[in-house]
Amino acid sequence: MKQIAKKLGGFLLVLAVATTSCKKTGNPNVEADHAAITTLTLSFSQNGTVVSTATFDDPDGFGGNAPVRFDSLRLAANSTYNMTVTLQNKTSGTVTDMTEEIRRAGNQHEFFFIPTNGLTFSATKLDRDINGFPLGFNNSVTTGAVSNGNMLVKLMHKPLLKGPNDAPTVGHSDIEVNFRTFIQ
Amino acid sequence: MCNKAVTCLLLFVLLMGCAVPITAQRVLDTVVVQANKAVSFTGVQDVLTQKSIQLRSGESLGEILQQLNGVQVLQTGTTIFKPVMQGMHSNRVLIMNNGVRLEGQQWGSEHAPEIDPMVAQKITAVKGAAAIRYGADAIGGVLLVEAATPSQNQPLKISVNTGYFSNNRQWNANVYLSKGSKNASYWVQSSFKRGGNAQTPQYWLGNTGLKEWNASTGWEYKKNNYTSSLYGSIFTTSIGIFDGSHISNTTDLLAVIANGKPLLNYDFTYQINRPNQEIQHYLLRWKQTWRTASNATWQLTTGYQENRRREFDASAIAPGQPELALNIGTATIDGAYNFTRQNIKTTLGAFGMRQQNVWSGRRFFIPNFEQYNAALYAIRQHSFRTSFLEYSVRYDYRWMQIFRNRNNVISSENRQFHNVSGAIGFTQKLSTRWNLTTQYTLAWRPPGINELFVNGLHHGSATVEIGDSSLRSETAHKFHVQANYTNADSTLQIEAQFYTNFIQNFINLEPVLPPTLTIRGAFPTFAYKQANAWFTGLDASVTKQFSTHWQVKGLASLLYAYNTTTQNWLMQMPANRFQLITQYNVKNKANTGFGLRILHVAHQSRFVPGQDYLPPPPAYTLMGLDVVTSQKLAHTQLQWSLTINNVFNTVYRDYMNRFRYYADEMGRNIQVRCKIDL
Repeated sequence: MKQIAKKLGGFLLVLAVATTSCKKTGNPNVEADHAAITTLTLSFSQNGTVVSTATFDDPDGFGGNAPVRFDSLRLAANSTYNMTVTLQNKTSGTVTDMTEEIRRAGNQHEFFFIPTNGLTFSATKLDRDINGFPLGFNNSVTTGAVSNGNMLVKLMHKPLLKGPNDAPTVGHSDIEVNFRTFIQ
Repeated sequence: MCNKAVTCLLLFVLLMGCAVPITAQRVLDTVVVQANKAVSFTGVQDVLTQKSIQLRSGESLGEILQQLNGVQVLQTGTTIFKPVMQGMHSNRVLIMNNGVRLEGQQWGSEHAPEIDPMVAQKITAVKGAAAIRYGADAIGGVLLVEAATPSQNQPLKISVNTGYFSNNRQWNANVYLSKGSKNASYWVQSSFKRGGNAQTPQYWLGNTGLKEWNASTGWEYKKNNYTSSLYGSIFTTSIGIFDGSHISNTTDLLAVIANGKPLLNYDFTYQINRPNQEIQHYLLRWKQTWRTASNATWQLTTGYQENRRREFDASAIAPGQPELALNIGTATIDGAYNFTRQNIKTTLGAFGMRQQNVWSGRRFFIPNFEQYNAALYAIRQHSFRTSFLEYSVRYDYRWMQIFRNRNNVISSENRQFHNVSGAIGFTQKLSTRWNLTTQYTLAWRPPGINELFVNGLHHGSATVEIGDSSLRSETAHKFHVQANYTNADSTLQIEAQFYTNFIQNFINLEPVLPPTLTIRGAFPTFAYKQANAWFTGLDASVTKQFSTHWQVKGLASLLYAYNTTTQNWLMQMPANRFQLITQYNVKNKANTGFGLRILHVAHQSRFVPGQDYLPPPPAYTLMGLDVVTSQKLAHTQLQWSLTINNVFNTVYRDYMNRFRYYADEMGRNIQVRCKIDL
């Protein structure tokens, strides 16, 4: 019995060594997603002056709390605008610009702006990636007659897939936001 | 690569012709039915022998376990298989690796068990009351994986298994060495496999390659009444996740479903790209047994295991870095005292466990935690002349500290769970032919870490999952009735296991409204909620021996799983399955056998319409063929086997495959194996 106790003691020692607390457990990694896109802003300008913006803002990122801001878009009928897209990450509590990061990986990304419900809206991409394929951070927008509808903004991620004339279904969606739009 | 396969096949056909019989043992004999065991045993369980495991070498543990009646799989594509018992999986099925609870990230439905099946001499599926011995949380059942111990003075034995699978051009090899002396024995094992993209009957599945390397060893020392045994294992794997499953929102998912097949065309490659998983599991176990003069035994089992999981998403922000890494370390200790007085065997035991989990990467899924578990248990078994009684009681306590970091603010919370569980079982020998076992088990399971804290997108299913940190433990009331019949000359064996399981506070994912609005679109949302659930089913088998050469076996596995709170069927439950296995061992050539397997999986009609993107797929029937032969060359024994799965290259999808939205199941797979015993 004494011998058993002795051996048992030995194993408890081994166990104690094996289980020595890992300091990392109590010092957890930040839960913010450093590569997330939480905020999308469309800015419409005429002659260098911003005349209209629309923002989708979900600062805690995917899941969690609901978006804090989801604007409708209002544009004048029969007009031409310059539309730029800005992306931000707010998950860590501070605002990080993601526009440049995605633009740098432009050969894997492309924006699409798709009007629905008879919305008289059309966008032409003005910028190109390093391969000369369309990107969509900078666009020329033309509106037609007075109409209401939705304008779907899609950012497609397509590593190794991107071509010059892709349909909006190629790749997978990094962004899919449907702005309620009024052309007045 | 293909040439080698043809050469291998030719060699196989050649050797078949000149095979020489050596043993009278049947080569094909899949699952042992415990029907004609003596009345000393109330276990509702099935055993898979080494022979059946080795005839499937190169497959994963989950795939091999499907040979056991009542064990199904939850699949993620063609590379990840999780065992399902009585409709339950993940945290509700416990796997014991040579006496130690396998502790990894087993809560995840796309996390396969980290065990090399080639380690096992036998695998037991414990469905009934005996499960209490291993842990109260095993509401679905326990799988015991046990390695062999070389016998005393056994000369050095070397055994080599090699195999080639046509479907994904997989190569695999396993080497096993064992030796025993008067007081000591050891064995060493290592296996390797590498497969490329798998193919359905019509197209390749991009990025479904896999690479695995495992090693294990066991050492045993015996002197007088003392036995000490060491067991160590390393499991390392790299698995590709089907590229076509990479979708980031509902629109993408609906586009693939509408297309009826993957949107891209793929080719064959061994290359594994993102998305993929890399997992390493290390385990060390020390077991000691002392036998006292009065024939009582003390047993102490200590174990330490470390599981490293790295998940690489399709879109790499930092190439080479995993988006999610989880590192979990677990120390366990189990002490048991066994003694027998007259016809009563008593086991008293204590169990302790410490675990810590650390995550890193940029995709938060579950928080860091540290947990301690303690348990005390007592089991008593009475053997009477024609009956057997077993009862057990167990107390479990779990203390858990959770650590989070939101915006650089570290917070910590504590959760504790404790419960009493127990079981009682009675086996009665009704006649020389009939045995009847009835059992009642009270079991409980504390909520898993994911059920408490998950909040985000479930990759591959385009759904948002929300945990609930206030979840309580589940309590299960489980009833088993097992009837065994064996006729006078044992040529007919019938086994029927009926179960019904009432679970209070069953933790289940239920749809919630409205859908979650994100920058990637709106997602259907599911939250972990508690409800009362009722599982009932039947696992039955009939084995008929027509002559010493012919054997036919029929298997049926039925399950009804119902949420009694919401009065709806529970989703993602295995459909009814039926199997017919015919085995023929060639006359005068007992070492050559043929097998024909027919599997029918019914359509799962028990689901809630509108809760899934795609209703359960139609029923399907598959055929499999096996040919085994062996021969002796000098001191070497060679065993060749040919297995064809999905002989007719049937196009089908299975409801239990989480990738059924994206692609069909694997097509025909011709597997050639060679086993050499030196």
